[in-house]
Amino acid sequence: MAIEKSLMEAIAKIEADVNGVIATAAVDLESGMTLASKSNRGDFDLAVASAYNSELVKQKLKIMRALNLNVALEDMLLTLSDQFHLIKLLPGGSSFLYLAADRGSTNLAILRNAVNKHCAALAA
Amino acid sequence: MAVIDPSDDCVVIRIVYDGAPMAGKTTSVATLGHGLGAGVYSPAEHHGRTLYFDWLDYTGGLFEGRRIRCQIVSVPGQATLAPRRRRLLQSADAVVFVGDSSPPALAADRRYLGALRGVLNDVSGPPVGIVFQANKRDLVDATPLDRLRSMLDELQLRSAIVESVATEGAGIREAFVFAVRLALDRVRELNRNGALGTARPTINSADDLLQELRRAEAGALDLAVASGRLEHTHLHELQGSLASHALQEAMHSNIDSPEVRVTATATGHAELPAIPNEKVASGLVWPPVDGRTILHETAGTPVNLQRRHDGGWLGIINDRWSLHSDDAAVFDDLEAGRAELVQWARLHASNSELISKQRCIVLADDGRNRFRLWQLVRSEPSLRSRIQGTLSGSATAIADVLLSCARAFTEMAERLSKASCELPLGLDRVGLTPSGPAYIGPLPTAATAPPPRHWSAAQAIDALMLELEFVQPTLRLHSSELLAELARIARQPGSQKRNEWQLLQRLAALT
Repeated sequence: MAIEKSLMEAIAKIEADVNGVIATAAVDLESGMTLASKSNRGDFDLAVASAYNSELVKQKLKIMRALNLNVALEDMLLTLSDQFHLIKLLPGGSSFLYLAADRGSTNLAILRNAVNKHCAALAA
Repeated sequence: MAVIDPSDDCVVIRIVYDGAPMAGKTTSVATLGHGLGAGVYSPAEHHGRTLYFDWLDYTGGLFEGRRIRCQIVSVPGQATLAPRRRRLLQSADAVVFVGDSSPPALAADRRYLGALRGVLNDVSGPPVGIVFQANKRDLVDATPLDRLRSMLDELQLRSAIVESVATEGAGIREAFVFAVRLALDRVRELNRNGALGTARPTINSADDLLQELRRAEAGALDLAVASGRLEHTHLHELQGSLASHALQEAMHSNIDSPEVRVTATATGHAELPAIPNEKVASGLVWPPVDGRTILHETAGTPVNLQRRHDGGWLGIINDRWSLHSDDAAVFDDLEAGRAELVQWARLHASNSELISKQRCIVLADDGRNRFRLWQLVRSEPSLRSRIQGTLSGSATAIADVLLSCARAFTEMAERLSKASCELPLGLDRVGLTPSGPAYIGPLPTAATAPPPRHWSAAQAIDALMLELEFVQPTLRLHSSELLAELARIARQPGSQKRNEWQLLQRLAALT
């Protein structure tokens, strides 16, 4: 049961470890619907971000397939002028964690480390 | 009611929350709204009970490049308002049935599920998927999941079960997202059949829906509520109304065609292919809605996957399902796999009158960047198991079962001649369903399916006798009683027909 609960717990732990988290969502890859979400900024539309990032992940997987890359996609890092966006595939590969953080408040290493640590505990 | 709204370039779907009174429908929708950051609108309440519906409008996710707009509606549970409930259910693209897990509530769950089935049977187009949200799982005496699954089986309802505690928010989003997936499977089928409209939705807001309901009911139900009947209405007063009528319908109707969808999950063994699960993409399962539901049931359950002698894979899941994949049913290219899946689906459809209903096929990532075709087949009692189960019984029981199985075997042989490919005939491959004998084994893939084989009556009886060699020692122990039983049967009307007579003679020879 309680998939959302465990996802929300992981999101809370990541927020506790990382400064400047703007929003986090666990997203169903196929539909782009959020499985769990938390936004710290009212103007950040997490539903929209989750939906379009699911397309991004699907396209990346398609590219990998076209290149015959017989490996797994672990995460995707996107750097904006003032934000980091991190997409981390969750165990099982059918959902991913999407996190947006303020670039001035954290750094990529801390962000990635925290996400990896707390996502690894999630069941497939 | 799914439609593409050109003004917003979104696909509009409706998810309806159904269930018995006090099961937790409104709480589920309210919790979902809270989690999604969207407000719930309830047009009217009566002492905290929903009179019309709860409405939640949420746009999220993408379907083939379009935003997905979900109209989330809960029905009123009170029996008095059954016509209103029926009207709302008829508009659903997927249903989340909120079931109360407390043992005393099981009877109400059953009754409402029966009614739901009756309503959905009348909905045209692709099947409407059902998610059974087993609520109140925090109760110490919550009905075990196996019992709930048995209830759904008895009602012939294919439904994914998701556990929840609505008051704590657990399981609510999971049930909703799975319902959206089922709805999108339906949308894809509607689109494929050219039945997906492009228009502004007729019902575009809670107010629209309220007006529509009021117009359709002409105030009749409001009068019932105002008269105070609502609080005193009990389920047993439903005689002749929606629930009882729907239950009768359910009892007389056939099982829906099975549908499938799958996603691969790593098995942790380098040699083993990943097992398909319910998260497979739309279009890679057949049938599209029910198939995903089957995969939801089997996903997460340990599978004892083993290599077959021919190099294929065979797995047993919970003693309820068998999982099959041919050695060669693997594709480097998704489109090649999809083409084979389509051919295989056609093969299933063309043999639908002969094969057991509960099965699905799926194309899933095998965990090594390739795609593998699987089929999931529900384990049904075979003729062999029926015979084996009666061998310790009386001579009368043995004779009756032996003869009924022999008749089913020969009838199946005759029907297999009309199959679109050869299906192996054997006591393990034939089962008895309420509508007659059915082929319960896996289907060959379209690429490997041999042409159909014609069975003459004599050939079928010969094949049966070979299959029945295993019972001969037992039959000989009861030789005299069995012969007397067979003689008694032979004197019954109809037994003098040539094939029947031949069958009885050959069975007698076994003793």
